[in-house]
Amino acid sequence: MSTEEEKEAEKARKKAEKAKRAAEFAAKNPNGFTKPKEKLSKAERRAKQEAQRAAKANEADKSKSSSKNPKNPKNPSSNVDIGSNNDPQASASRQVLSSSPQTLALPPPILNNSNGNSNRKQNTPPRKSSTSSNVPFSQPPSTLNAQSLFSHLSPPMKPPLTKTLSPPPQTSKSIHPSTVTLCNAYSRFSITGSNSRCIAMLECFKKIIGDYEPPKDKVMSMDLTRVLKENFKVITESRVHSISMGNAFTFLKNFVTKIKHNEETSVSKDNLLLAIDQFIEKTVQFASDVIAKEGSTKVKNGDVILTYGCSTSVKKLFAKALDQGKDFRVIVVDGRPELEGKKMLGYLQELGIHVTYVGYNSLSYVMKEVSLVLYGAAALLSNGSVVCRVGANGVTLVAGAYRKPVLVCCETYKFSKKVQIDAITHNELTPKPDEFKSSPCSDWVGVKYDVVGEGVAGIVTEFGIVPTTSVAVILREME
Amino acid sequence: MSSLTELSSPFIEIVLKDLLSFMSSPSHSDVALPVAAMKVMLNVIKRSKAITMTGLLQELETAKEGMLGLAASKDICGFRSHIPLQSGCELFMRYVTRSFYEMSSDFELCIKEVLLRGETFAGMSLTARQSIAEHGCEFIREGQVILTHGYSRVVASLLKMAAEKQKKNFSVIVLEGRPEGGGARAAAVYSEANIPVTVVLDSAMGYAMEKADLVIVGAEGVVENGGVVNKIGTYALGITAKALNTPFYVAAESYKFARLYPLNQADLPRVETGELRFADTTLPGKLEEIDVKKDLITVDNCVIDYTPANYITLLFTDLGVLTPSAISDELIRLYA
Repeated sequence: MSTEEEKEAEKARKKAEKAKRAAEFAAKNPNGFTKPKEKLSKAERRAKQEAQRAAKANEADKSKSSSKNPKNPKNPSSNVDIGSNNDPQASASRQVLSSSPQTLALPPPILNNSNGNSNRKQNTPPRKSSTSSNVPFSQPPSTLNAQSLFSHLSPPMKPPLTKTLSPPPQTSKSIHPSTVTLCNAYSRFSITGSNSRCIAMLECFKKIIGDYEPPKDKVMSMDLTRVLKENFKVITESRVHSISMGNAFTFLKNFVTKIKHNEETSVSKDNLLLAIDQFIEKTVQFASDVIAKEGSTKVKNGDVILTYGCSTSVKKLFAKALDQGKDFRVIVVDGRPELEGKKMLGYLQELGIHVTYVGYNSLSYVMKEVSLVLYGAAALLSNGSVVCRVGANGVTLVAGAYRKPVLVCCETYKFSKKVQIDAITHNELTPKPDEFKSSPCSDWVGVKYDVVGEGVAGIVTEFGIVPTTSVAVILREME
Repeated sequence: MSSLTELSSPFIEIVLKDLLSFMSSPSHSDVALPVAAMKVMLNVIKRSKAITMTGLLQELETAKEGMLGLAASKDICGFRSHIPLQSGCELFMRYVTRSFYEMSSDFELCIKEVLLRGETFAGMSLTARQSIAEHGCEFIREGQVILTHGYSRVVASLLKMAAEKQKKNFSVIVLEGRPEGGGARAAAVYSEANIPVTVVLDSAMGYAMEKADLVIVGAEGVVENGGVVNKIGTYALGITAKALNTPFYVAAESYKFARLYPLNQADLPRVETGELRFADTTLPGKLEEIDVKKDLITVDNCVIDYTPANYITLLFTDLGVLTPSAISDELIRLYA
């Protein structure tokens, strides 16, 4: 008995030493794998040291009382939710997941998350924002899992946006009033959906370009790029930009850099405005018209089509199929908290299509009678993953269980070279819904997107229906 | 629309006569229907008096519709679908438009070039079988048992090459392939090439799979998601092969790559064929038909089914040995 305790204590001591070494290593290699460490202020350094010391002390305490879980040097309480998992590698990787990079714009690459580098935790500077939860210690154990899983994501913005509305003085001249209006709309979620958000952003850029006058001593292409970048940065601060917005902005930037030096300002501006209009018309709107046409070939008489969310191209597809005189009905499945399906319901009712509206919890009940599942995507990644409204993965899984084909509508301008295999590494948090504001349960974890890895029969694009494995080929062809 | 009606009856008559003569001439007995269709289309171009590309494409489109109509009504496809005919026509037209865009605006010159290229294209389609056999026979090893379904010219040339040229010893199990019984025909062909063959009923699929080292089937159409449309029973064969971890290979010419994206069996184009008759063949003496012409009895004789990509290990094509996902990549490159 006593020897066993000794062994335990010995183990714990070794563990503590390892943690110390790890801390030293971290101090020597501050850069880690992903990005340069931020300079720590004196107070922050002290806070970090104290945290380490506390962890060590805690560790010693634990080993004395021969606790069941002496393996986790940093966050003893975080072991609660991890359960009886004593594998140091696994718990280390969990810790890394719960560490918090400072910005969402640069989430940690997926592969680095899984390398089990336990030094990363100590390496991470203290959280900047006080609104995001400081994970362990004070939280009830049941919420720890979800909280720590998404703690690397920046907290949702709260309207009104006092912070972004007063940009730093040296750049304030470049921030256009319409940008501020747009930011407010984004952060209040009054403009949602990747197409609408992208178009709203491009309209805003049109106003910026319309009002833009290049300074006499500067080259227009360079100066305008700077102005647009600054505005885009402010926009992304109001709400993380969607992939559609990112791709549209890249297109715009590329166009701006091609402005010739000797060209009249007004001519360049006109060309730019025309290019933006064409982008909206062709790449966004016309694409979804073609998608509607391509997708409607899969609608047959007597079909029961299940849809989730409220995608522009899916709406157009239904209208097109109705135009073709096809006899079908639609089941709209809706999920809280956004209840976007209500918009779809209203739209389909206006068209005069027979609609059934059900909650997410009746999904498996209605799936039996479905012949096709159809929803829109926010983005498609080069590994074939579909980024879509949270809940769509569940719909896809249930459809797969009932052997129902799933088609996803997505314009190719939303295709991205990124690779993502889960919805955790990169996502967006939603603000707490009002009805929970007064609830004693203080934690809310709501994410915006799902990543659907498999179960999708095809993607309806303006180039026709393609399998998810062909996204990389289409990206290559588009270049 | 008006030009379509102008072109109609006498034009189509010549086209169809052309097609039928290609199909019936003894020298062309080994020519696949899509290749015959391409030759017909070449003749259309030769005869054409069109002065613009749009006009020429219109004529080709009419010819295609005419041939598809004949295939649907006159059953020149046998118990097969019109999918290969359609894909052959569409690929040829794509070929013509591509040549046109690459060429100068001189229409006369362009037609000459299109004819030249068209001949090579049709020729390429003929040699396709040879190159598929060369790619595919490398996958056959000494002493293996190969399971195949019905009769396919591509599979036959592949197996014959492995046996006759490469002198490999292997045996074949062939499924009967109801209703046209291509399996028996295949067995005759293989035994002539000194390949030991066993013929089994279609329903012995699971029983035979246990003995098989690999499965090779042909295809009527290779569809955009990497799956194949083939003779009824291929889907079941694919599922059985997957369940028993047996590699499932498909041999198909690239002119069978079709612009189709079936989501499931119900999403396949419907191919109408005659109703089958059923008899108990175990009874001695005269075959007595079992009456199925009663109320409540429906006979559903589907001739094709769709095998999704995830049941297919590899496809042997004249473009090389491809994974199912590479098929859609090829098609995107062709049509995008």
